[in-house]
Amino acid sequence: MGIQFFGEFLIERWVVTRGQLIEALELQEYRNLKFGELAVRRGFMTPDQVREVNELQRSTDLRFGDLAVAKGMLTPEKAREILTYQKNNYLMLGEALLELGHISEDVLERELAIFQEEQARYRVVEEVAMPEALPAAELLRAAVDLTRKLFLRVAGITVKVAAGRDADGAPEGEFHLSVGVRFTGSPQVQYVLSVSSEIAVEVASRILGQDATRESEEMVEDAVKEFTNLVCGNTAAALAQQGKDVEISPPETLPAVPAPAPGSRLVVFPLHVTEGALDLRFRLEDA
Amino acid sequence: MSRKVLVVDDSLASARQLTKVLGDLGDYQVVGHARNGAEAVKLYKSLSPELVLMDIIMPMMDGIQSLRTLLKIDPAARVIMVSSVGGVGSQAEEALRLGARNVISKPFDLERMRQVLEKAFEAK
Repeated sequence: MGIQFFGEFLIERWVVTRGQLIEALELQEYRNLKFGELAVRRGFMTPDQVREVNELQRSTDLRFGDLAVAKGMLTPEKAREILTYQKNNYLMLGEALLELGHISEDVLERELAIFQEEQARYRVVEEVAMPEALPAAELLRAAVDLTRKLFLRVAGITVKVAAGRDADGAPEGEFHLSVGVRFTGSPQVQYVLSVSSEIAVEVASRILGQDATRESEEMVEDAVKEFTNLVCGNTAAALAQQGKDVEISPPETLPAVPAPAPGSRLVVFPLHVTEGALDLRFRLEDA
Repeated sequence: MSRKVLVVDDSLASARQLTKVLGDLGDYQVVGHARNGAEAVKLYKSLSPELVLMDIIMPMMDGIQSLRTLLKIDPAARVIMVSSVGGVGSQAEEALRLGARNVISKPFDLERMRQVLEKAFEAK
C-alpha cells in the first residue's frame, strides 16, 4: 500500500471502476483551475508571464504564486485573493465522484475513514530534529521518518533516529553497502543509505520472504536497492501530497559512504539499531 | 488450476518478492520474469500468460511504454501495474487510461493483493 492518493486507494479496492475514476479526474481538472489560469482570467497576469513563471518553476521549489510575487508580476494581495478562491472552490475527488453519481455518500464516508486510518501509518511526524537553515527540510524530514517506518514495517527492524547534523567525516561502524537515490528539485538532494552486512541480509530476507544468508551478493544488493527505492518513492508521494512534485532516479550502488566535499552540504542522521550498523545521509548540491 | 502470471520488473529482488507473494496467495503461478519491456513483449508472446504484473518504472522501455506495446499485440491483455512510487498519480492515471486493469502499490498487503487479482479476472 504505502502512501497513496485517494483515487488509487478507491480503485485498488475496486470501489469505483477505472473509467469512473478517470471521468472524476477529468472533472477535477476542468473545474480546478490552476493559479496561472485564474491570474490571467482576472487580468492580473498576461499569458506570457504565466509561461515565464512555469518555466522558472522547473528549477525552483517555490510555488507559482510565491514566484510570481517574487518576480514582481503580482502583488501579495492579489496572490492571496487567488489562493483563497482556489481553496474555497476546490473540487475534491470524492465530491467529483459524488457529483457524477459514481459513489454514494455512505460509501464515500466509509472509504474516506478507512483511507485516513491506513494513511495515518505513514504520516510524517515532526519529531526528527533538523539542523538549522536547512534547504529542502520537508523532503529530508519525510525521508528520515519513512526510513524509520519502513524499516519496521518491511524489515521488522526498530530504528532510532538521532538529531540531524552536518557531517564532519566518515561514519563509525562497518558498512557493507551504500545505495543512493537522487531527488530532482532545488537543491538536488541525494539520499544515501549505508548498511552493514547483517542489516543487508535481514532486509533481503524480509523482502524475499525467506532466509537470504545464502543468497547471491547481487540478490542481497538488489533487495537493499528495492528497499531504498520504496523509501524514496514514498517520500516523493508524501511531497506530492503537499503539492510538491519531485522525481527520483533509480537506486545506484555507491563506492563508499559519501564524505564531506566542496560544492555540497552533507547532512547525517545517526540511526541506531540493536544489531549491525546503519547510516543515513543526504547530499545537498550547491547548498 | 493455477493462473499463469508474467512478472515484469527490473529488480531481481522485487520479482522474487512478487513470486513469493503470489505463491502465498495460491491459485497463481509465475511462469516468467522479464527484466524490461522488450523482454516482456517477447515472453508474453511465447508464454501467453493470463496476467501480467508490471513495474511502472524500469530502465530501457518503461512500464507505460511496455503496457502500450503489449496492448497493441493483445488488446485483451490483463495487465496490473505495480508501483513502488506510491501516489505518483499521473503515471498511474496514464496506465489506467491506456487499459491497465489496476495499479497496486508497495509495500504489498496480501489481502488487498488477493482482491485486486481476483477482481482483475472478473472485470472487463
